[in-house]
Amino acid sequence: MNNAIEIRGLIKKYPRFQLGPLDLTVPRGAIYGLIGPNGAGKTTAIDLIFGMGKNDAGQIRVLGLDHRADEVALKGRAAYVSPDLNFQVWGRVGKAIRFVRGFYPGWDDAYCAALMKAFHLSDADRVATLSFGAKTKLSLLLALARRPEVLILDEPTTGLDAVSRQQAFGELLKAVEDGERTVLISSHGLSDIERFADHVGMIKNGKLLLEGRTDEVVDRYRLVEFFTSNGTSFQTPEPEGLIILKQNENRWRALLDQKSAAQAWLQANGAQQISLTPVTLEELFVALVKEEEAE
Amino acid sequence: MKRLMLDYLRRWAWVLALAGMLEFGLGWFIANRPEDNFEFWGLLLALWAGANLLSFDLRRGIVRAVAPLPLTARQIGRSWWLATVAIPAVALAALLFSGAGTFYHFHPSKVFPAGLLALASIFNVLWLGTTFTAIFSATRGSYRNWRDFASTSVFSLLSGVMILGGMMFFQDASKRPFKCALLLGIGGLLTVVSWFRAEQFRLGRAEPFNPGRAGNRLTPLPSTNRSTYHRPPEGYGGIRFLISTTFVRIFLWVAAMIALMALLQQWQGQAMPPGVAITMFAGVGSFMFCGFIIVFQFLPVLRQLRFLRTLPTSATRLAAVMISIVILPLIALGTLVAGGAWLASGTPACLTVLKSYMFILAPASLCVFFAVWRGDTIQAYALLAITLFGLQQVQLRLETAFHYRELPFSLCGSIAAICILLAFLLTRCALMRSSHTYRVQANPFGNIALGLGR
Repeated sequence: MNNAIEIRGLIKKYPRFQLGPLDLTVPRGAIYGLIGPNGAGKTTAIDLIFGMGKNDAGQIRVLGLDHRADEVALKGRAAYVSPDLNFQVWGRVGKAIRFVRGFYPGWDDAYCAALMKAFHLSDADRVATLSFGAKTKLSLLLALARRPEVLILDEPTTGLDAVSRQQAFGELLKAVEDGERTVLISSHGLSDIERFADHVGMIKNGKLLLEGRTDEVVDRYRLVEFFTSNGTSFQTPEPEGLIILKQNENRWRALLDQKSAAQAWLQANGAQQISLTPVTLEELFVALVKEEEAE
Repeated sequence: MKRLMLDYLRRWAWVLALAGMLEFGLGWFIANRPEDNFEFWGLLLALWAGANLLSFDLRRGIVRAVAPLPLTARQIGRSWWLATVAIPAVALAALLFSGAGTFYHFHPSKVFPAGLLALASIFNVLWLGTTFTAIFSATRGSYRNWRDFASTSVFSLLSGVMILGGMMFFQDASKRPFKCALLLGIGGLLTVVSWFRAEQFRLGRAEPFNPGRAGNRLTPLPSTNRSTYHRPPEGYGGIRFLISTTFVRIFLWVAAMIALMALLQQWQGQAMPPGVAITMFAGVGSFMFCGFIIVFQFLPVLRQLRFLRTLPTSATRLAAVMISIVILPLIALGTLVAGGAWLASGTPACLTVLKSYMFILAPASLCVFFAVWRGDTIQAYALLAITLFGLQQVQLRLETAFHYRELPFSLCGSIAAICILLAFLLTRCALMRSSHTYRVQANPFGNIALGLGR
């Protein structure tokens, strides 16, 4: 089993939104960044993994376990972090830890203590008086200290300052350094994803736009600038793999998929002074999302 | 200010319309049967037509939304006071008199109870004002100084005792001068206080429903004990820990309330035959405590549902846990009260109490399902009220239809067992199938985290 998470043909229908059909593969030992605009379906997909709602079609397997038939075993080996989680009913941080610890025989007390020190939390802290960021840290601590094989994080860095964000990602990197643990992280922090995630999946309107190794995905695309001398439009429609981002008179700026035949098409259609520059994940994201919206 | 009031009234028009219709009915009822007590229903209607609705807005973070508007905190507070106390008071009084007037129109031979209606209208004002004070006290996030803390605590306690105790103690206030004077005095004070407190509405809090909470800080608070960050906990954890801690908390709270209620009943019910007193104590008490447990103890647990669902426990077990959190304390409390009744009045009283607490398990378990299904929303509260009062009516109808003095054990047990099983299956289904269940819980971070993703 090389894949930690396999989602195949997943569909969830709402009155005004449909997730899927979604196919997503997270390799074992990877840090997988799931990115997409607001309302793309990221949280819905993650919720379905943990049985929060029922999928209308498709299959989800985590570590080879079916998300419904092997629900308890799956949750025993996977952990979930989100700023939406609420621990206030336990009153104190220590009590929240005691509650969660009871579910996991493999709970690592020493690691928990180290994380508490790193995150500036104490058993005696009242959950209600923790700041927004500190609550997220508590959520992260409760997930990490159980040493899960798969860690699923939904917007884990929301409300964290730059130092805390680095700290959180540092702990995540430590957690996966043995190559056995997997992290699926949904975030709008694209610079963080580009820096820390070795795999990336982009989701929009419930559909997966692209998926692959982060370096390969980013390397596949280029920002292209070129000039046309024969007017402000092409004679034939632009091919797949070429997304026009901006046009000023006869000067063009576009996103080019190097695996497509778009570059040859440009040359054949009279584009001149073609210059290619690498893209960042954020530029790629904006370009792809804008193209979808234009369609 | 006008826009703020209109906004509030427009959003809650359907609840206010419903309360208005019921108030009209109450006016009819008072005109028809002036000798009967109306205070309990008046209090309930005033509760649902007043600041209680505002509390839902506050929980959804309306303070943060209105804070940047070109209005002072005083104007915002006063607008809400007018919308939740003054306007409903006038409207309820008009509807109360209209209801009685309509009855009088069809039954001109009856005496028009103008004095009683006027008193009921005054009671409405007092309950609306008291509710505003209670809600306002509960929304105080932090205190400027110890005097602020002390005054808020006193008025919070007073208004809380007035509302909860009022359901029992003031139910015949219009017929007893002492109670009437007490209600007018304390209620009047709290209503006046509500006006002045509304002026001090403090803006910028993220989570109004956590007294003592520090609001919206973005940096961690220093821990109280820096020397030991963490000591590995001893003893059991997991579901057992959740059930045991909630059980102990609920049991102690309600046991204290039972003791208070017993004292009140002892004080006011000297003339009441012991049998009637015990039946009332068991019947009204069990429904009141059930409502208290669901609203004040179970709903906070539900806010952790999203987290609970990610833990290695099945939906079936989680559904059973949800039901157990509510029914186990009720069973224990029923046993405690039955034991007390047996010591005080013998076996028949003990059996009456046991039956009441057995029957209450039926609405309690159904309430668990509704709360899990709809979350901490106005729809859930409406369903809870309908379930509690609906099943109380079922109990009365069954007693009337089959000429029972009290429902037999077998019938109480069967109804309770069927409802518990049904609630368990429905709760399990909601936990497994519904996405809504996990999305509508009151957000602990105000509105900040609601729009993070689908």
